[in-house]
Amino acid sequence: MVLALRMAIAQYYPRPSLIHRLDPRCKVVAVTLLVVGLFVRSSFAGLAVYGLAAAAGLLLSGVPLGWVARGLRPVAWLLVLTFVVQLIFTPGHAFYTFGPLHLSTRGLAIAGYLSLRLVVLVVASLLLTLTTPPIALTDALAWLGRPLRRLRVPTEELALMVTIALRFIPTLLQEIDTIMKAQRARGASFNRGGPLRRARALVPVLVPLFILSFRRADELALAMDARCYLPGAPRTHMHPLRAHRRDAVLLVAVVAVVVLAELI
Amino acid sequence: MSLIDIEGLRFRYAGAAADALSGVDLAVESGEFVAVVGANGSGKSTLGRLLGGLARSADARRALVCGHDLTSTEGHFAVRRDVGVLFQNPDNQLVGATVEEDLAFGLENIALPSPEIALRVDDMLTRFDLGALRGREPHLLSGGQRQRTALAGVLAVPRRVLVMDEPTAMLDPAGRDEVLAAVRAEAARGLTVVFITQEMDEVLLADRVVALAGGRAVFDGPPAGLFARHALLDELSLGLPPAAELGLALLERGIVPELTLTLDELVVALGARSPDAVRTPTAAESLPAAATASQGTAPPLAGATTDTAEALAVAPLGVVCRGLSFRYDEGATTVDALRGAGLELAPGSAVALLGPTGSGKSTLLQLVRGLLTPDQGSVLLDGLAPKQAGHDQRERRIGLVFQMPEMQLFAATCRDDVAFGPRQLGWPAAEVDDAVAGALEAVGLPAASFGARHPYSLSGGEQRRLALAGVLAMRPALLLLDEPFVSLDPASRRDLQAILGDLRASGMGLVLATHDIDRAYALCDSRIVLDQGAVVDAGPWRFGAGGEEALQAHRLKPPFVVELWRRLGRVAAEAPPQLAAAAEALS
Repeated sequence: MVLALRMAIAQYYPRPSLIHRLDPRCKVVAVTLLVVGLFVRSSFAGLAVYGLAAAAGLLLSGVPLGWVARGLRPVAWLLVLTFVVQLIFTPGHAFYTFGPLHLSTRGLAIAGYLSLRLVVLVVASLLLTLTTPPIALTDALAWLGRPLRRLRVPTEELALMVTIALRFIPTLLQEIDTIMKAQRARGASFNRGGPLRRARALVPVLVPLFILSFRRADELALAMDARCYLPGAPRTHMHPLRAHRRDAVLLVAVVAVVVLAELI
Repeated sequence: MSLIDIEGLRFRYAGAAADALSGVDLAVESGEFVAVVGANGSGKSTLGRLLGGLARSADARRALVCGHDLTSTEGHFAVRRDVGVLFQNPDNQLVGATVEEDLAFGLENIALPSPEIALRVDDMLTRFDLGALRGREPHLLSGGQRQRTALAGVLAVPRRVLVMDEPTAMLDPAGRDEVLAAVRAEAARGLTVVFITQEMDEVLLADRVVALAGGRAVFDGPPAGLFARHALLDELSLGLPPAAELGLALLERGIVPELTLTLDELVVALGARSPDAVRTPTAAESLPAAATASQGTAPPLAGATTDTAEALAVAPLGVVCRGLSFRYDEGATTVDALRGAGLELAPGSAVALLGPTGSGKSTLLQLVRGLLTPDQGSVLLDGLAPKQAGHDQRERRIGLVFQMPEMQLFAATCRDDVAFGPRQLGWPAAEVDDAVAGALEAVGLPAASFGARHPYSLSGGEQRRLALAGVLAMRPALLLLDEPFVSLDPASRRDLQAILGDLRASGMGLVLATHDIDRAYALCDSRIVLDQGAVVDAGPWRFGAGGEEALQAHRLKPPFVVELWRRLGRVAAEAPPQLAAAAEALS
């Protein structure tokens, strides 16, 4: 379980690619445009355009396909479900009937379209998380959310909070792993009995974990104070976000893809 | 004017019944290196926080640090720019997702322009030899590397004073040396250092030492002056290196005229006496008793074991590991923790598991207990392979005490926490009660006074012993311990060693994975040396005739007593494992 969690979070795949070097803000905007475009345009031709664009991005990123497939795994069930439900419940001229099941060509077309769209959608979003370190992503979202500061939303502080939370996830996973092993050495078992018993078996893991985390929060706050952190005070960044010509090229390319998908 | 100029500083935590500091005086000049010592609860950590402006006290005759008035709100904020504070737990003070980001954190907070941050971070990476690790995530660093990063992060903001609160307590010896070397280098550059510590050898780094007791300074002077007042040492519960501990025992016996702190001083002091006066113990006297005993017990034959519950409950357990390999696979990275490690633990023996950090000690213990499944090889218990009948039963008779086991306490009372294991095993209530009472007694936390208390109301050392009781309650035949002495204060280390000695004497098998070679030598009759996932040496301790070199080849030092015996021209192999026996032999 711990390993699965770790994989889900550690999606970022470092590579010296063009896509990796792009400004994370531009990547967020680009992916948002692609996703919205995908929903607005509903035709196989449009889908093909988006699919090709996502494939091109993947190729440029240099992330191995196996790693991308790993990211698709969590939505595999959703894909199958979408396909089956659409295939069965879309009314139309049946080409195959088996008892109450009516499979129509129209159903097949819609099921195929929706599943493919889901794949393209997930791949486009994966392209963002695979090529952008979580911290850069947080900074980008904080920057894009700056207008919210007018409404007194503390975007900078929220971004730092998320960054720190991300930093401690691997540490936390290591701790869960150790505590579970230690309690197993004392006879605990986590996969025996019904749901209630399983939930209760987690108490000896969760209690120490909470106490550890509270103590950590305490000590971390002190350490942050000691490093002159003052909430609300102006801060600078070692690597300020900076857009280059390549980022403009990306945005133009994405707009072109959306327009092309609308036209054909 | 002194950089730190404090008189009559008092502090009380909200809701506390007594003062944490009840009128401390402290003056530190620019460039001085001052050690602050004191037992738990003496107020030394509180003093560190106040000096760094991390808490504020309005109660002092004078409290000036770098010209800021600590008693004022603005002053205690402003002083944070000039005074950096390094804490004990490296895990809980790294904010950045990478080493580089962490060094930048303080600089970003003081709103330094970006190009200057980059320059300063590069500078600190070089100064603290972290360049190769700049993009590394904190959880992938060793303890020493983490603490060095934290130190560099604290000093990245230009500081005039560095306050450290037991910064090496949670590190292994290699990590400790790493951090101390970095601190010494900074002190040599003129940084003013206030070093809160419980270890005497760290005190020796300082120009001056201030001892606190009951929230007051009870000593202020050069380290030698403090060590001359032996009676005070006990009260401060200062951790003495073995040379000083033996020196103290010899001083009390009138063998040496004054307290010796180091091996060299001890050799000189003892060498001054006529060598004829020294009685050389005979080989039979000094051979570790258990080593011969373990050879005497024949390992039970695999086929001949009778699996009645009573027979099992008292029988010692023999372990044989054959060609164990284990790899940690974490997505993009894999680590080969063990590569074909093989070993044999005779029933009822006490074995030290030695080896540098990352040599596979923890993994080996977890494999023996069956918490991990080897990729290759197998663990035989009393000759039984994992799938054979009786193997699982025997596996349950192996107790494993993890590193910092107090992290796993969870119940509302000590009694319930210790009862967890026996209850999981489905023992009848009366037997559970019996086992719990026995285990609490064995670790010196009698059920009558501790049973109903909340585990988190106990001191750190007591919590460690309670966690040990939780394992002992399951009546193990073999006890595996992973770094049991790490991050304990000196008094608790001594207590724990005594408890383990008693368990050993009661016939329980012990495997002690530790960096503390002196305690390993005192508690165990043989040793297994691991390096890079393989067993490179195993068997009874042997010194002289290349024994020390065999340890040094794997970055391990021989025990202090052995070194002393060699330096005194005695037979190194006859060095007694216990310091008390050594003092006796030298008398």
